[in-house]
Amino acid sequence: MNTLPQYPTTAKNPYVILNNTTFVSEPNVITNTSKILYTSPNEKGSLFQSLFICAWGTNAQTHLKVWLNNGLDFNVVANNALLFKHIIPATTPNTHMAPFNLFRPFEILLQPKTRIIVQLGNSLPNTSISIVGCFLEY
Amino acid sequence: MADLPIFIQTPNTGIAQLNEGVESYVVDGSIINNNPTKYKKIFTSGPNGSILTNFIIESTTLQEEVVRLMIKDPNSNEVAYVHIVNVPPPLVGEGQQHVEIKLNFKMQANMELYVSKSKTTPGREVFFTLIGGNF
Repeated sequence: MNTLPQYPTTAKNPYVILNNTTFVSEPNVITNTSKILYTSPNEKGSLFQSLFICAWGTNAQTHLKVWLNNGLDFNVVANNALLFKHIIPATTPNTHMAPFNLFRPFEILLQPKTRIIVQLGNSLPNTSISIVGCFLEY
Repeated sequence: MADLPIFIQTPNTGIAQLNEGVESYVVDGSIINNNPTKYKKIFTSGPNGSILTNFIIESTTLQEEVVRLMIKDPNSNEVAYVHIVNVPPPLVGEGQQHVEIKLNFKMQANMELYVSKSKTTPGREVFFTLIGGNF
């Protein structure tokens, strides 16, 4: 089977917390509600393996969008592609409920300077969605 | 598929026990730093990174518990959740509840993992085990 050669890689785990208090001042993709999770290194690029997405006590349903930006201005719609969108159900802040956990594999190669941007559908006062990325850098 | 090269791994197993609980659900690393009895560090990734394979929870508290596994950059005050688990109370006649989460998580060098539980249960513990290996 043809495959990519095996290069040494370095694991990276960037993480962000998305809620109403953080997204107003962050970079813009379509609307003013997003954060850059990861930027692929300049020289050799990286492998985007997966995301761990967790929510607890959010009280309100929202959705999460994961965007791929080509390294150019993320305010220009043509520079972004929507990779993934998922509904995040409301979760109540007590123990008698199911927490929300989503492990989402991607396994896609990112060229140098590519950004992964995450965005919420609506604000979550006093609570948050947590996103942990698994990336391997060449 | 491009992947990590095959290195000889050194097993790295983290353990922790907690009987103090915290219901707080706002993610904030400063809570961890200010409440060392309610949040315990269970694992620190090696200098070349690590791989995590199993997260094992053994609860003897006789109550339903929300257990959280959190990642923290040693240079940051903020944490993020890797997994949140609702651990049911033990079945009648049994003294404990066992939950095992399979992970396949390649972890950045020197990152830290913490655990917490939701209820304070004096004299009764939740035991956490994290199985992994250092590259």
